[in-house]
Amino acid sequence: MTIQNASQYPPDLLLNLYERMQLIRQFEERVKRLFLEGKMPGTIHQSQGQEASAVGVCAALNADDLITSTHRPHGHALAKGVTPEAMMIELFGKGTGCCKGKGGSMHIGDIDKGMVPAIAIVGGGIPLAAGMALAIKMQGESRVVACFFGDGATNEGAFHEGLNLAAIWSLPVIFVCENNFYGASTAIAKVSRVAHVADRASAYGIRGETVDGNDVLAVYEATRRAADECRRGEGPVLLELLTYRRTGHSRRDPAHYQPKDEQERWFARDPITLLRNTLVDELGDRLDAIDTRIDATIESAIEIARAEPEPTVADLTTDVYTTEITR
Amino acid sequence: MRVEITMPDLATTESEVTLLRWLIEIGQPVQLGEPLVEIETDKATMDVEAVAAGTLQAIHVQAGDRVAVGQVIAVIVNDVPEPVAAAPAAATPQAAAPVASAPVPTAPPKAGSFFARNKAAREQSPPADGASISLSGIQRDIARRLQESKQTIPHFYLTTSANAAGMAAVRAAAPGKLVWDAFFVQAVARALPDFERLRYRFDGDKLTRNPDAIGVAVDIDDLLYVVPVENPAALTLAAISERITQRAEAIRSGDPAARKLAGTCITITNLGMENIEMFQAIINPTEVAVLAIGKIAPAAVVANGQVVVQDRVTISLSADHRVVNGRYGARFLSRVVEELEAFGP
Ligand SMILES: Cc1ncc(C[n+]2csc(CCOP(=O)(O)OP(=O)(O)O)c2C)c(N)n1
Ligand SMILES: [Mg+2]
Repeated sequence: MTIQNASQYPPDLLLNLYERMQLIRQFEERVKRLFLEGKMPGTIHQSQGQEASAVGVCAALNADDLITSTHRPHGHALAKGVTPEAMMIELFGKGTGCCKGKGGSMHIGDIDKGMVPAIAIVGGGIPLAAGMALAIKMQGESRVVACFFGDGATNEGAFHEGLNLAAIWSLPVIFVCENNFYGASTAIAKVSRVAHVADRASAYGIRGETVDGNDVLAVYEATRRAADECRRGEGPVLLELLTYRRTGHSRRDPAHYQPKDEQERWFARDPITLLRNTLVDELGDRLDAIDTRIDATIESAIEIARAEPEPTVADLTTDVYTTEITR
Repeated sequence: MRVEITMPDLATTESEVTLLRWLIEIGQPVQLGEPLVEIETDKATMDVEAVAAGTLQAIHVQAGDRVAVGQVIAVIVNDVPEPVAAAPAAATPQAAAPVASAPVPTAPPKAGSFFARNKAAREQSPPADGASISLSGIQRDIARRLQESKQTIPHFYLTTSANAAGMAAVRAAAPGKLVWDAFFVQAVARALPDFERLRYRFDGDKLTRNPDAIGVAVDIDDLLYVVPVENPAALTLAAISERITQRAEAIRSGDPAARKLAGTCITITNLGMENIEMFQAIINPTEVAVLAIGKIAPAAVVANGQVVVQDRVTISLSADHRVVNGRYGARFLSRVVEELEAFGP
């Protein structure tokens, strides 16, 4: 299987999309190994299989546009330009990480790259994205906010409140629902009678669109259209990206609830394989070079992260609202 | 390099997991990411992937052992050079031949997850005097499913019997040994096309189509499994029988894929070999019915005004009243009897 119409795009863009997706996949795979080796603490929510949605969306944004993310943030962060080093250091809990080691996997972010720290409360990013977009609008800027959330978030109250508020004030938010068909182990069909998340847009009088979330170019195009509308003051837009996770919900979940035939159907449409198959004839050598480069980048990020200093006891009282605990 | 493989922190509320079985044998090659060992946590059974490639040189824990997170469970050796700052232990010469080394004294378990520590702090250690028996994850899961079925599905029960002489004759004449269940699977498969509703399950405000596969209940090591016979209408008796035996064998040998619950519409469950004349079974969700088979035994029956001795079998259908009513179930069961009595050499 290949992606149609890829030849209309400049090779540099295509290679860049490939590199970003591969960076996410290899980063996640390496982190998984560190976790299994007991070298990385805590559990993690990984995004293998969903790379095209993170990369397609972020590639269509400007550097100063903003994103919000979820409990599954590694892909979003790498796609928006947070460096593998900064993330690895944070995942190791080191004092110099992007959240000074206090956030960990579920709070990855870097405001300088346009990513506020990820929010692990399901649906929690939605009202915040509306608020960020309101600030942008009030300051007369032309930036947009892309707000990532899962299918599970669409049944949270925050979804309704955030979308409605953004709609009545025409705020520049692209609501990006990564519909991977499960919220933890619960199939979306069990908790919603609406066939497509995008159909819910009509409840707020905004435009909704369902997109093949494993086709990075389809995601890129849909996001560009949505961002243009938002910048013209015609937002918000609800994008539903259909995708699938190739791992458990968290590292401790074997995903037995994903039926085998369903897995096979989706794995056959792996977003990275799709793009690689599309490009391999003309750009095969460069793809291989990218793969090698990414390996080296990730290994060096791990080396750097290991060597960074642990946080100190004194750090416990920094970045908190009080410095002295009174009894 | 000699890589010590430790147990990853895969349990949610415990700091230990149970090792179910090794998926690679000592002395065999292992790929990076290949399933190495199957474990059972407090929530699920799962495979643990190898975090190094090479040869599995030694295993330190056996099937059935409780293993602490962080405990060394195996050693993989490969050609990768030792890192310069290797720990002294890693510098010992590698044994030439793969050996099953003696169990390593359990390292003090690494403090488990936050949840595990909380739970441990809350709980007293369970009494070791036989006052209670702890259940494995699978046992708890089966218990939960059965309770849910009995509490939420309005079961009704129908019982009748069939002349088993034809089946016995076919079985005696068959080259291999046919399992009895195969006859019942085939009879049900032949009856079902005229009783489409039994292919659906109750689903809130609608009925949802179930898979066509017919299940056969098997009891392996005191655990209940349902072996699916897919596309039963297209299979010969011998093929159905073969399929049931093979799948039961796969479960017995510990094949995790075979143990997974597959979609089925109706289950056949048989206690004839245990001398039970008749019984009524609990529906296996998300199925709509279960057919319980009793012992095949000679009985005195009246045929054409004469008392004759006949091999007979008693069968009981338990069905979900939300999907089918009594009369529908009765007609289905009578049809199954017709199909059973139609067997003959
Ligand atoms: C408000 C809230 N409820 C429950 C949870 C626990 N939780 C974490 S992730 C998750 C599932 C989210 O599913 P979805 O939104 O589809 O995202 P996905 O995991 O599929 O990426 C749940 C229930 C939470 N973090 N926040
Ligand atoms: Mg989801």
